[in-house]
Amino acid sequence: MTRRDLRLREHLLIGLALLGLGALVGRLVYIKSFDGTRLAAKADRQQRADIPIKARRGLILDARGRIISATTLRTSVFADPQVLPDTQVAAETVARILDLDPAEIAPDLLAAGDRRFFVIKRGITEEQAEQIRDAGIYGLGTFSEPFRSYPMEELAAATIGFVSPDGTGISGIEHQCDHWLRGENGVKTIVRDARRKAFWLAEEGYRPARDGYHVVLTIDAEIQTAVENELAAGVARYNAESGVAVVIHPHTGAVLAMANYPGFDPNNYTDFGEERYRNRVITDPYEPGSTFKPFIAAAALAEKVVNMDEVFDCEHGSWTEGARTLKDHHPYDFLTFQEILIKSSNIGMGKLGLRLGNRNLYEYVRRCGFGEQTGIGLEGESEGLLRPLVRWNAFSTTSLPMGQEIGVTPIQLARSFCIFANGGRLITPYVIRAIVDAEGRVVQDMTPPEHDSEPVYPPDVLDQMRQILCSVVNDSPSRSAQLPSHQVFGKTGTAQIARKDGRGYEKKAYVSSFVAGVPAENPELVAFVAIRRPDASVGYYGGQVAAPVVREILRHTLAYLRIPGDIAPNADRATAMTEDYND
Amino acid sequence: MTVPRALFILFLMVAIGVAIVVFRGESARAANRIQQLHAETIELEQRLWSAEIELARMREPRAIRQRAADMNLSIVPPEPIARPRQ
Repeated sequence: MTRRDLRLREHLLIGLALLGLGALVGRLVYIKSFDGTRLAAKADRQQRADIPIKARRGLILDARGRIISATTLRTSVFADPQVLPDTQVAAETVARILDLDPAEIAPDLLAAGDRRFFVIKRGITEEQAEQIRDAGIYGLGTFSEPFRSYPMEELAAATIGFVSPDGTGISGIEHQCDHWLRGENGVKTIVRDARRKAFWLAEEGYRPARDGYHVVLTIDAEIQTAVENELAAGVARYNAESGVAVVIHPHTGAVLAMANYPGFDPNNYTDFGEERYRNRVITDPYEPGSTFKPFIAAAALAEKVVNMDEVFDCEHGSWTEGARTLKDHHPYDFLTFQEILIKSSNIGMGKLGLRLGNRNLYEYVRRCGFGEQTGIGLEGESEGLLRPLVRWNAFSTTSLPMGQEIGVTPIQLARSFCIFANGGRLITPYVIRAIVDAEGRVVQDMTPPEHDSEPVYPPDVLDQMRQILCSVVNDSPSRSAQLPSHQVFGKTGTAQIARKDGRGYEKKAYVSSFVAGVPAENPELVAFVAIRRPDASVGYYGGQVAAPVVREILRHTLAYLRIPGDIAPNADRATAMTEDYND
Repeated sequence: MTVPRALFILFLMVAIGVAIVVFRGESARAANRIQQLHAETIELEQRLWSAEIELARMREPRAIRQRAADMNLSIVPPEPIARPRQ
């Protein structure tokens, strides 16, 4: 072989190599230019996936930061029915681990049809999840899902509400503040390997979730617990149908507790009837009876149609005015204006109504906030029932002063009673204090703005009324609302329940109520309790049924908030605080 | 083009190719580590949320009273604040 031949061979080899490389490069250029986009998209679909990053739903906190409602993650087990090698074996394995009957699972798996994701059971333990993973059955797996939890169970359940299985608020504050609590989901793009396992978090495809904001309430869990316990005890003591209670700070309108009995556990809300979900403190008006009398008595003083020492003929318990006969629960002959309230004389109040007249009555009732929503800002609040003045008649003049012909909600009555505790202002109650972010920064302050309005009654009238209401508590036969170191002022109510057909009142059916403020010298609390349909054979007067409940609620709350007493401790009034505190 | 030169070029190309593969491998490992850390973060968050719920249950007033009762302890009420003597 000559040198020329060798060189030729060399050139041939290099030429072939270059041709091969050229072909390769040419192919690469062709793929990139003509097929690149389609193949890149196909690769993306195979390898990449956008995974939503679920935002954590915000917390609902009490006034002291205790968690009332929170989202946690729970482990659940799922199956992909289309790839399960043996449905029966899978069902038996899962049933054994979860201590279920295989017959409950297998039919559902078979009926799942074309579904690729079928949840077998939600909320399993970590041990069970581990066992399922170790079983190694292809098509069977576990996943984490957010789950709303209410660690305080029934506490303020009607106010807090609950969420649907997909985490959307559907009742109460959960629904009302859903847009604050929800947050915004994020997204992450992952790259999968051949086994579909995520191994790469694509940098450019990551947007973190913004977790929901937290809702801070004015409700204090300690006070709410005391209120719920005492309300439940009061209802049980008199075999009553139900009860409601509310505690307000009279100067700011902050609602410290709001209770409904019977309640429900939002962790298992489907176990309870829908009637339990209602927050009857704001939704259900009722005829208030004698708890309404202070508002009319104060109006009479303000309009100067009566003075404190004036004496009224209470007709020995039965008085006919026109077509109407009014009766007192006890026959009285002559009572002073103050005694009309202390003894709760319907006849005395009827006569005050006549002196005021319908127009004045209507004006003061409206000024006290009745016949309109309180502005508490909770969904479902009722305006109560107040007929327009044009529809009032002669009956109205003597009915309204004794708390009939009007429907008020518990929150309306408590809010209006604050007038006697805060210098005459009609405050706006509120339950939601603020919306805060994860760092505690206030996103939205929900405290109602203060508005300078004229006092509903003049200061001297308010002082006089508070004196009278103290006497109601101190001079009542049972003195069931008295506290040892704090002067309580309040009014009882024993209202008949109107018949649904509008023809009078049911026999032996009452709402027993009591509204009170404390301490009288410088009020810091207003509390209201109403107990519906107590067993009349056991007791039904407001002073008997509701007043002791209010007393206990106030006792707990005063001690908890360290509110100083305003009277010298009285051995006659004192109860054993240590014993009672540990009930 | 001499053979040594061609071999040198070939060697260079292989070296670059190997470097690219190694670099890609390292990138993939780093990205995988980020993905693992992300998964660990989620797991830690899960444990934090569960701990929050557990703490909330323990702070519940009824639960505190129950635990005190179980331990035969009484909750000492605060002393009533009396009206100051005048």
